[in-house]
Amino acid sequence: MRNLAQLPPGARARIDGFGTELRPEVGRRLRELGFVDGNVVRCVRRAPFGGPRVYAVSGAAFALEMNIAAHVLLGPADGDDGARG
Amino acid sequence: MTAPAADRADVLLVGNPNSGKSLLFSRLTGIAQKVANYPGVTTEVRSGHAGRLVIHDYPGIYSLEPLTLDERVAIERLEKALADPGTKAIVCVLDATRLERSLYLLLELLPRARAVHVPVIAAVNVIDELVGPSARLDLLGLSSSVGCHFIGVSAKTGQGLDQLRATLHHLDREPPWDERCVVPASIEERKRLGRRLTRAHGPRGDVLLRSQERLDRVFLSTALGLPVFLVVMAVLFQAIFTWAAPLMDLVKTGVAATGALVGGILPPGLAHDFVQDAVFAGIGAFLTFVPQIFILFLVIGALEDSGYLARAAVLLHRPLGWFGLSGRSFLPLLSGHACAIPAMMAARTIESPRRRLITVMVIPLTSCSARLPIYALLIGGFVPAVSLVKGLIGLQGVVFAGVYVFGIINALLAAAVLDRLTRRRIQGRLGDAPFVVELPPYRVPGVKPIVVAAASRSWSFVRRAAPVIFGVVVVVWALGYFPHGSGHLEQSWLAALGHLLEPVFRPMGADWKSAVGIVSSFVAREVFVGTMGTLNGLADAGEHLTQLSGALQLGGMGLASALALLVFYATSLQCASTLAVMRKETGSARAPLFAFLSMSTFAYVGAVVTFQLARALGAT
Repeated sequence: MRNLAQLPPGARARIDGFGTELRPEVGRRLRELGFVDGNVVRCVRRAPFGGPRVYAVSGAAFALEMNIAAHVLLGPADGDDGARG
Repeated sequence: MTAPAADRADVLLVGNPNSGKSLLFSRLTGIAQKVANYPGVTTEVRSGHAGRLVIHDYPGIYSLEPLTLDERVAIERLEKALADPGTKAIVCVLDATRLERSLYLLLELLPRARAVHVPVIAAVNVIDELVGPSARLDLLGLSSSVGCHFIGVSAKTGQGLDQLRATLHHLDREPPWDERCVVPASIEERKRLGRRLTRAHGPRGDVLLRSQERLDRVFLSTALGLPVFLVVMAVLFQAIFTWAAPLMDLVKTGVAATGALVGGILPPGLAHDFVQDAVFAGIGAFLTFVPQIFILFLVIGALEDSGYLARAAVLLHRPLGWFGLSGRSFLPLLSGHACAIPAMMAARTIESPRRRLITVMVIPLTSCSARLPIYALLIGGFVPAVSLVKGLIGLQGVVFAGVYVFGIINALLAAAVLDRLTRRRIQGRLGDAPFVVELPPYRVPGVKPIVVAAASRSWSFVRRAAPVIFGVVVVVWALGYFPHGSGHLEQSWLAALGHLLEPVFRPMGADWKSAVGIVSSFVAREVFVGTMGTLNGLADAGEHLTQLSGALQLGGMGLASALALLVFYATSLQCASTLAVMRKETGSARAPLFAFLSMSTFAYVGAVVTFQLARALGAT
């Protein structure tokens, strides 16, 4: 299964759950911010030095560390239904 | 909150980080308060009056489930206030340009508030940025769909504030709730509702997000990100050292003139000497660098408000990670160049407790502005004023920059060492929160809020530091004055103490006067210049650094000793306030004790090595 860390800049995908190793409270926060199942997330860009990546979801932009993004699972790539931002 | 519950009308101001909540608070209450565009800057609850209402500004939160320390503090206090009968209403601040995301907190807050019959008002901020064809905001539609007041406001322009005030004043404690508006319980359902509401009543498209992405292409790019960052930092330091100079001269002149005026009135004797040498000389030397702190707060405020600081945190997260720090350590380390105290408090936003501890402990290694007069004295007086590169760069300037770089390198190396030391002790990263930073839209910062905030931060710094410094100056003055009075310093108690300590400091090239200066500055390092002035018979040393360095040279001090002192002051932790705040921020006396002992040791060893090395290389 693909995860958010593998999403290249410019690409969109639908969120499809979290990895089991992710602490529940961290998963909860990510969901509160908009990383909920079925939402479309877009990778905006990567920061220099292999740092965090910027993702657009729910009309806002967030920088996520790669080791966190790797726990966000993605469904198959699809159209832009609900892909605001 | 002293009035009895029945007469009280408390209003709780809550919202996401970066929603413009603090600026709205300033607008409503008129109290100068820190307003910033960096997530999580407000770590204290601030209160102020708006008519008969008392408004409490809570730190920015994303939800009622805490993840970091500052969130936990905020949410605990918020829940307590929510249960308080004096609480009349909650104002939940939303960002019109990021409506979907801001609705979540409102939807989480509503059921809790309804359970205790506290009305909620949704203040949709930043409506001034809603322009163009996609800028729709149907407040009535939102009000009837959600079942609470929606008011469009702009904290920047003041738009809609009268309506917000009027609504707050005429609010009944138990308004007729629209029971049809049921808020779902699960996160997913709430997010979905937020999206539906935004689609039905909010702005269309995401114009702001697109324009912010265009700017991020520069500020977060691999090729340009770092050069731009370095330019921003260069401007910042230029501002502190060049733009602050006229303000500093103004303060100097003012203090000197007042001192002369008061000194002229008093008859000669103990009182005259005390006022002239202890009060004006001591406090004057300290007040002189307050403008520098003010300018630093001003520039940091502008960076925060513009949205750039969040980018800097993202840009530096990985490089700082190599030293066991976080991208969020950047702001505290930067602030440390003004003063360690607000810097340590800014570290509360760091997501990982271990990285936060490391950040707090290394902040005192960055060159705070209290060290500045010492650097100015030693570099100006002892480093030859030769120019390099065909007159473009002065050697003194290079040494000056070098001391700052020295401090930064020390901080990073210390962080790396602490990282190794604590990795084994603090088990794993279980307590660590993830590094998730919201990138706020870029905004042109408002001049007035930044100036007001910088002034209020500077003032609280002065209030905190001045009493300590004054106390030390008085003690040092008294030790140097008695038992024989003015002009008999060589026979004073202070001289006796200095001679006693001289052997300890001899290996770093310090004479008895420097020894007294070092010892007296263990409580507050800024005392050093004043003490050296007193010891060399110059009343207002802070204003006449050249004269003082001349006197020091006559006393036999050379370049090697000066460089050793420079290294000593760049490394040592001589600040009682810093130790006290570090204790409070880390929750134990162990961190400040460890920091004090290790930094003092490194300072001493470093100074001895510097002196011996400089002597061996031929410096006098």
